[in-house]
Amino acid sequence: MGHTRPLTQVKYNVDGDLLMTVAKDKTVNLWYSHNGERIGTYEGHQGSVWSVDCNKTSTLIVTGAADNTARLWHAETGRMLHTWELPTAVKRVEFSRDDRHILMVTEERMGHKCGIYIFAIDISTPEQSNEPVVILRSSSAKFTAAAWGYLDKYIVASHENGSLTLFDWANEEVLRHAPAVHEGVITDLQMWKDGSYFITSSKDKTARLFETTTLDPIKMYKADTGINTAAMTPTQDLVILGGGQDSSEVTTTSSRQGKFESRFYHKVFEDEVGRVKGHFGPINTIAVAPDGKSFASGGEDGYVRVHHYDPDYFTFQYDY
Amino acid sequence: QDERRLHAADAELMSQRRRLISEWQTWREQVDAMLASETDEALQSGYKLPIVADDQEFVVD
Repeated sequence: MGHTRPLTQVKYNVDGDLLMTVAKDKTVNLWYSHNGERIGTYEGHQGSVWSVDCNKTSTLIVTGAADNTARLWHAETGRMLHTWELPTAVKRVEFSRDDRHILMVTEERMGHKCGIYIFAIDISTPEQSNEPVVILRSSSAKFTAAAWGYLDKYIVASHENGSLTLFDWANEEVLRHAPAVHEGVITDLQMWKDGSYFITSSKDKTARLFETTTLDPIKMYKADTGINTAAMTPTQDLVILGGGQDSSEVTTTSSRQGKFESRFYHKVFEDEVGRVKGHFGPINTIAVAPDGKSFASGGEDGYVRVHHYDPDYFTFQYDY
Repeated sequence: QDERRLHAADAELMSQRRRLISEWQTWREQVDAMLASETDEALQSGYKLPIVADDQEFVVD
């Protein structure tokens, strides 16, 4: 199943029965995750859609795009409920854990500084405020991603220069800044389900785990290619990395040499335990189903692949 | 001798893995305790997570 242009993000809803996908083809698709049947397409963005998320009851979908807007959609009918106009492209959107706020990460461009805009959400009405509750600014390089920490107390942001910042967002305060935790652009940041730690991926060919409140490094996973995305499996001690050579660097048509596989690592031991093929170009985004029984990957090739694990996967015991 | 070296390397690897798992579990217990305490505090001060239920429909009109 797919889009007509490269995928930018794939994401499951909380129940795991729905999969949202966004791409550079300006569309947002909603699918049944178990069989890949498309439920609907949300049309309205005028540029690449960079990010998607939905609330816990799967009634509302938010998207952020290169048309300098974030949009709120009624999931069931596809009706566009609200449009927020931002100064620049919106690279990442995410509902808070209590669904009362949405964070939006904007790009730095044309004289506008990047920011993390936080808007309050009123679920009793489609009308939403256009005034952000808070705007967080970077004291370092551009933001590349951000995520809510546990109990919505914190927001962790990643930067283009490989650093991380921990915000007490409500008080607009920088609690910690961890410089150069990666040697390249941080391409993705995904929280563990309880928000206590998170994984980052980078063009420096590594993915790393960090504790939320301290930004202390916990684990590191090494690859032989730039990593665009990293996800953690909720039931097994595994992390999945996706990446591959950028199209500008690919000098061969071999998908093997392009390193376009999903790579599995043991979360605690840090060693690579397996790979899954399926894409003909770099993997841009990976999400793991909340029940841990499948994962989805979105590639530069325009395809979304949903991988269901074999029964062996659930019974496999690491030897120690 | 090769077999003995292999056994020794294997034993060392197992020992290292047990140590890593033990360290991870200890760290996780500390984090879980901290989360439990902070969650209690947050709930007492009014923080609420959304209730995920099928009957909670968002009304468009």
